[in-house]
Amino acid sequence: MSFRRDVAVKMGFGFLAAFLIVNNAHAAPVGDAKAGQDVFDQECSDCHSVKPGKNKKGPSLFGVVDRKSASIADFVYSDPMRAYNVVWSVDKIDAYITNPKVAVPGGKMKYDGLANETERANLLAFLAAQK
Amino acid sequence: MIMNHACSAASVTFLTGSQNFNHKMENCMYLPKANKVTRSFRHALMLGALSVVFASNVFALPSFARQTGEACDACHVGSFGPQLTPHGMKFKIGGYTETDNKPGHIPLAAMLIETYTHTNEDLPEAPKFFSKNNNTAMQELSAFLAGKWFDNVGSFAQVTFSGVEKKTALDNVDIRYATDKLLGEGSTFGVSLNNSPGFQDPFNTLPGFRFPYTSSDFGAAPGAGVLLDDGVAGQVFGASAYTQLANGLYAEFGAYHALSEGFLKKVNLGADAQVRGLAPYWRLAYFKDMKSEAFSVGLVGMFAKVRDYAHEFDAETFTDVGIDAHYQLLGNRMNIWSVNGAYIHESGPDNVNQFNIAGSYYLNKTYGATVRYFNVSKPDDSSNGWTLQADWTPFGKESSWGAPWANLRVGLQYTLFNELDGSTSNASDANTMMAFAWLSL
Repeated sequence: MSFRRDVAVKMGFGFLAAFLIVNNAHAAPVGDAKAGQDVFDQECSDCHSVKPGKNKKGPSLFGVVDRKSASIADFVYSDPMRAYNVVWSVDKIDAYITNPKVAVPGGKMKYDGLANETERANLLAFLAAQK
Repeated sequence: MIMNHACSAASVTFLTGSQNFNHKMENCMYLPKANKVTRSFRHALMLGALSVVFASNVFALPSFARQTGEACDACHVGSFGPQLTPHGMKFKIGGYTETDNKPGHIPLAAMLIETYTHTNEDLPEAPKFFSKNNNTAMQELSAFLAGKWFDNVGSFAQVTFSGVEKKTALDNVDIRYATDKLLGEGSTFGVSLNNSPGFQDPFNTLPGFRFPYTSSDFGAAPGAGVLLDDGVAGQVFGASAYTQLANGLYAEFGAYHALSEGFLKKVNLGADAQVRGLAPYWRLAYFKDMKSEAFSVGLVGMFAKVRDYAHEFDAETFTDVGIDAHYQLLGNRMNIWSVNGAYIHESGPDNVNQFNIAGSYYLNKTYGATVRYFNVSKPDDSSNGWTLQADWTPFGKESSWGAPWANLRVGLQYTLFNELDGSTSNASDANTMMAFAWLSL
């Protein structure tokens, strides 16, 4: 392998590694899950449970990360949420809870959103641990 | 709120110093100014067989929990009603209609309150069926039609059997229509049909819906009161339109009309204080839910011409204006601090001023302590004192045994009078200790 090709390959692996690191940062929330429980209790627990199969006015959030949207069989979703049709990646959840009414216009969740980025990161870490 | 069983116990008077006080009877009705006419009116009411009127006991209902899929602690401070969290206030404003959308919810619930009461001094006469002191009673057994009827209509309607009076009567009725489609995102418009001015209020500050949420039928209470403090509760029916705007403004306006004497008899309620014509009621408040804390501050008012149903006395005019506020520190919901207060001034035959403030702390959604100071005064007498309550609520959480069917609060309440109807020397004779067990399912 020539020096140029060697450099090119190394740079390629470097970019790939950097990409994976960045991408991985989106996939695995970096927040504090323990602090996230407080955020969940404060912001979400009136309407959501993290118990498997426990639906309140909102669906159970057990295993919500990487779950297909509107996929709990015995929960009645709104039409806009059924049409949303995404997999709840960390990024998607983050965008949704930042401003639910913008992410899913016409959805029935009565929540204005969580503006604080750190609190969202902590909440996402907590939700990611519910599996 | 419920029938004020004190009215039967009301034939019993407390001896405080040189004065005879018929506290319970005075408390169980609206009593206008003590001028010559109304003194006679009051005397007539006292002597009459006035059986049943309303008091300010209100409740939390498991049918709401079953309907929403939520635990009681979502809507109630301390996992048991009626003290509402911001989430519970919104549920009430929303017309009792929010649901988990599953079919088959039946909007029925039941409730029982068992009490033991000890007063510092014996009652001069034993109430019918009971003793002069240390009475144990099944104070209230209620059935409720409470929850969503259909899309935008729900109710909180109650029938109560009094184990003190041995009677069943109509109690609170609040039937609502509410929609969030009319005024834009996050705003609610609704209409309440109810029989007790102030009971429909969501903030736990006004007399019809504030601490103490239950009290002994054998205990004393100040004779003076204001129109909004159950003055015409159960004697009227009214409609009010209300709105909760997304910016925090809450506004309500309505009017009440007297129920007919025949109807009141049919539902086993005493026909005592009859409103002449329409009695307007209004409310303006600012309510902010910041999730970790919440507050409201507001104004309330009511105007009514009131007379007795027998028309033996002239109608008199009463105008109440009040200011109220509440603050809750909720955090992650495990431990909640609350302060609720109201000051109401009444212009009428008497000028009456009523002030109430209560502070509570609930630990682990289970252990509660509440302190209330009350003061009501008019030109010729005043009453003031404290109510202390400690309670334990073992259930009502998401992981509780039997949720949401099994609900229990056990508590100890002590009411201490510094002054009662103008007397300070022997006011403590009326100090009342009540132990209670409060079940609902």
